[in-house]
Amino acid sequence: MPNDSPLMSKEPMPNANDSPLMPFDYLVRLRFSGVPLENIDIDIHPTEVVMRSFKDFLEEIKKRNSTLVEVIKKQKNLIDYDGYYNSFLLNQITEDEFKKIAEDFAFSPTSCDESEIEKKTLVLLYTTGISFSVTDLSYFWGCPEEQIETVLTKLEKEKSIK
Amino acid sequence: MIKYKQPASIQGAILFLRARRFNPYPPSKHETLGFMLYKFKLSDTSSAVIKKELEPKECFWREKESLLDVDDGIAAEIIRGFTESPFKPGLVRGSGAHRAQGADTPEGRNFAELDRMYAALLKIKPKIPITHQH
Repeated sequence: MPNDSPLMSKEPMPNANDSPLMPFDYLVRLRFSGVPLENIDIDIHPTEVVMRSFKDFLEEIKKRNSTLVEVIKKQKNLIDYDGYYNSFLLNQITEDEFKKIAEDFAFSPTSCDESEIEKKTLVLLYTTGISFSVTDLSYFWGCPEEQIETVLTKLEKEKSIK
Repeated sequence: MIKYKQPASIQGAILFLRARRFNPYPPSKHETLGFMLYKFKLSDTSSAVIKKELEPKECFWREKESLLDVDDGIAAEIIRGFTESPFKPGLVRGSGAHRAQGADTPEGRNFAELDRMYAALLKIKPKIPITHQH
């Protein structure tokens, strides 16, 4: 394989004259093609570089997973609340009874890190393909609607997709 | 006056809310307002109009510049807001031949403002690192 091949790792190759104590950890990939096997492509990458790529990928998947779990938990909470609200609408429980129950579901929105809101919102929109409203997102992330609105408006401007 | 464009909000003692779809949300305790907010979202052709003004006629939520007069209102695809007590929508006449949900809110400090979807954001594709960037 030529040295300028894009398949070739940009990391310096180990030298046999280097100290024997130098860590030597590479992944080699062999690709055969042609009939009979005429061409062989060899890719050599430092294991650390390959593992770093996997780690980044796994980190991203973990973040996505935790965002989705957070939303599922909130949705479950919302379904439970709706159940009690329906009972209230159907006069199966009194307003005072409902108010007591509703207190258990009450939350206090607190200001969140805007970059976190942005990341989680994009993950949610991209993964589900659902356009959630500000009220939904405010409930999911537990922060004020005004903050969600600021983040979404900024995102729209940055991406020039209005 | 009815407002259709953001930002617009109303604050009143009694609001008449109407929409094809009504979604309640768990209540929240607001830092500055100091009472329980029973949140809701109206969607699918929604409107909110002041039926009774606040006394005194001034914004209880001072950070918001809201309409305060009787018959002032907002109309849009989505409206969000809260009532001081739980709200019970009933069956009312909607737009044209459609029926809708709606009713007067319980008397208290009630608020509604225009909301919107950010559907354009769906076009953004977040990057997933699948290869290491040198």
